[in-house]
Amino acid sequence: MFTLKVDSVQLEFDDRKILQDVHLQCKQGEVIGLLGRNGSGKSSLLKIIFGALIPAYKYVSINDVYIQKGYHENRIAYLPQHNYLPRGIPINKLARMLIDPQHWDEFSNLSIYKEHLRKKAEQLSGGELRQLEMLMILYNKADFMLLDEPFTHVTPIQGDYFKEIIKSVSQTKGIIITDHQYYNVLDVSDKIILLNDGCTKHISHVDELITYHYLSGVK
Amino acid sequence: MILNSGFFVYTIIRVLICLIGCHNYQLKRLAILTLQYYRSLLLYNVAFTCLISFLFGFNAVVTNPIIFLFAKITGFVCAAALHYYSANKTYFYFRNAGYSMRWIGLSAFAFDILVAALIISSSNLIFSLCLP
Repeated sequence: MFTLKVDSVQLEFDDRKILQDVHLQCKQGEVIGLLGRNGSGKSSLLKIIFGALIPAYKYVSINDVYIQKGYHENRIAYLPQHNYLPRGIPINKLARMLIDPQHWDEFSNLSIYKEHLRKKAEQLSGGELRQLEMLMILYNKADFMLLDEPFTHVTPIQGDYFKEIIKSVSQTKGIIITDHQYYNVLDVSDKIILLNDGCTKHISHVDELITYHYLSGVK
Repeated sequence: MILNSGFFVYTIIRVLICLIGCHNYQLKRLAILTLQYYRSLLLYNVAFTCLISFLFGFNAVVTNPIIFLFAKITGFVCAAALHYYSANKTYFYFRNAGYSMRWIGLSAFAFDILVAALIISSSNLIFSLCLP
């Protein structure tokens, strides 16, 4: 059982403190929902954990062993907000590089993959591409997954399908998920963390989201 | 001269065969990812290699490795910078495969040197055979 710890992250842009007091912990088998307003630093925090963004200071560890780059040796996988698959290469060749060999049979039997395996990223619709990109991250061999807005640009049915897969994958992996569709995040998460003024607030009840002005409270 | 060029081409082909046929799983993945990254730079780099060969002459490029290396570094850095501005979002694909862009870039550069050396030495060989 691995535990991902993120501590003392400090990030500044143009003398504006984006992240200053961030502490979170994610165990395998757990889904952490990360909420926050626009510009609160959610995506930046995920990129820092992944190793794609270098802050002024950070402490990221797995089982108390410091890691510089989360993606190194496939410890952490990250689904960015935007499309990330290179153009001009068939999906089956890209998938081979990302999918855990132990889960290849399961992945290659998915209908969306079978339907599009010979197509290239630019030949797919936005929704199809997003679905494949999401699945390629969830079937990655990484111990921890960081999902940045997985429910954006997908239909409600696809969103429900994602939630099922996230719950299934989270039995063996640790997942940190962020999205503005907070109800979907609340549905799949075991714990909720709110990023407010650059600090993490651990939320124990949904009403606290109103207290911190994340939700309006109007029903 | 013909023998030297022939040996050079032979060595490069041997290295490529070793890379493609290697049994090391991680090295094989790195080779595939490198090719996937390099394919977007290939045309630019081949054109640049041909250009420097014509500008400096095939012999100068073969006999003076400093010209060759300087030209290749300049060309590769320009191509990589162009790729960064047009497709840096795809870097997350390589990172999710477990490799940093520094590794992918370095191995793509090594591959670029091989491709350039192959083009120059085979052109040199053809010229040596055809010209009196």
